[in-house]
Amino acid sequence: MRWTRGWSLAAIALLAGTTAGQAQVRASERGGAFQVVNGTKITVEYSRPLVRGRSPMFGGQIPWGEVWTPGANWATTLEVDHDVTVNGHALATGKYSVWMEVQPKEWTVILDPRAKLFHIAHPKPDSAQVRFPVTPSDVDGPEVLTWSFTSFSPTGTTLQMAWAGTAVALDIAVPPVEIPPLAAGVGERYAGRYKMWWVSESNQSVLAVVAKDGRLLGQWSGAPFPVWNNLTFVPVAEDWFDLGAMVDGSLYDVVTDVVFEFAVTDGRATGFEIRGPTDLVIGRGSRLP
Amino acid sequence: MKHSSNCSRRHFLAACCGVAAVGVAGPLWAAARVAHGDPAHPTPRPGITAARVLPDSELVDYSSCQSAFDAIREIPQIVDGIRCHCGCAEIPGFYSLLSCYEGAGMARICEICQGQGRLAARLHKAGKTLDEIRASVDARYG
Repeated sequence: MRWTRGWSLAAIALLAGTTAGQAQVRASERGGAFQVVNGTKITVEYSRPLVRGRSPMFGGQIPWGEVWTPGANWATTLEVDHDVTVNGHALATGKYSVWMEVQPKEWTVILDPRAKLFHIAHPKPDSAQVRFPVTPSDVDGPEVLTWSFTSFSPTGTTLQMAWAGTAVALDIAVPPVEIPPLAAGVGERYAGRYKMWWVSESNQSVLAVVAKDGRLLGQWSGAPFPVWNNLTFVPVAEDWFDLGAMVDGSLYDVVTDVVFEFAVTDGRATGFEIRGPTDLVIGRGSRLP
Repeated sequence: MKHSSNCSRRHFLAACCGVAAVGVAGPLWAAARVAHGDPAHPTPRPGITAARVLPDSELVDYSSCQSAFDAIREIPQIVDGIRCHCGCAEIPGFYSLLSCYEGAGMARICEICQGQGRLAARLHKAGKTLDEIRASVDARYG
């Protein structure tokens, strides 16, 4: 059999067909990052370009004044499942395409509610967009464009884009914790001092409970960590509470798979059981005189 | 699997660490779960029994959960009206919390299934209605 031009084309076509069906390699592979902060999920999805020796990237490969999506191919998206603020600017629940107008000093971040845009479909200014200035900073690298959550606290997180020696930080603030207040007078039924113990240990500790401004607060003398010395009881159901740790007067951490169940007789708590996820009793408390 | 009431303080510590490990996701979740509504609990099937609940012979290696199975056998008509919150409700063939204690016996290894079963039995014994039990299960595990 002679290897003719026709056979060569057929072989290329066959190879191309095989490649299209099986290989998924992209120059800028898809990536993403998400962070949950106090129940708010923040998600970034993007294609990840590499520098590949191109320099300078900003002001060169990407000219000053260009409205660029910090990613590649389809525009990078930012999705939030609660209303948040980004660098102090309100951003409603939803999914947005992310753009940055690059300039020598101050850039402009543009969040466009049209999430599915190709990278060359640079959006024009629109009242539906959220736009605000940012000052980029110098960083080492990275070779691969990277979005990451560099810090978080009970009130928010910092989302950073870094690439080719430049980083832009977005400070995202999430809705505050709202603990349902107790009805007037309800907290008083639990107020008092309790001795408490774990069912498998003989050691006892003291839990002092006070009702204040619709909240039920506690001081735990035998807390396993100092952070649990000051508590707030988070209502789950009548007489049931999750235990929250307070730091500097703010809710810091809540254990949600362990529940305090107060036993109430004649309108006054006589003690409590601490139940684990299997509903077995893992600790108890009884009111001190 | 080893699980018993003896875990106590260790269990609490593990819970503290577990929540710490997922950052500060806990607080709003804890507050939000109070506001959860009823997630479409199933209607108990007429004449349902505990005949398909795994027998003790299937629990030899799972002694710590035996009390949960014993409790379920007493109240099949109640747990058949409760939707399980562990995620197994999406499995084909699953009908209710009772299903967790039948067939493959997910409740043998799932603390959530065990907890909901024990809680339902405890509240039923205390005279609570099915709706009240559902509300408590939702508040605790929803």
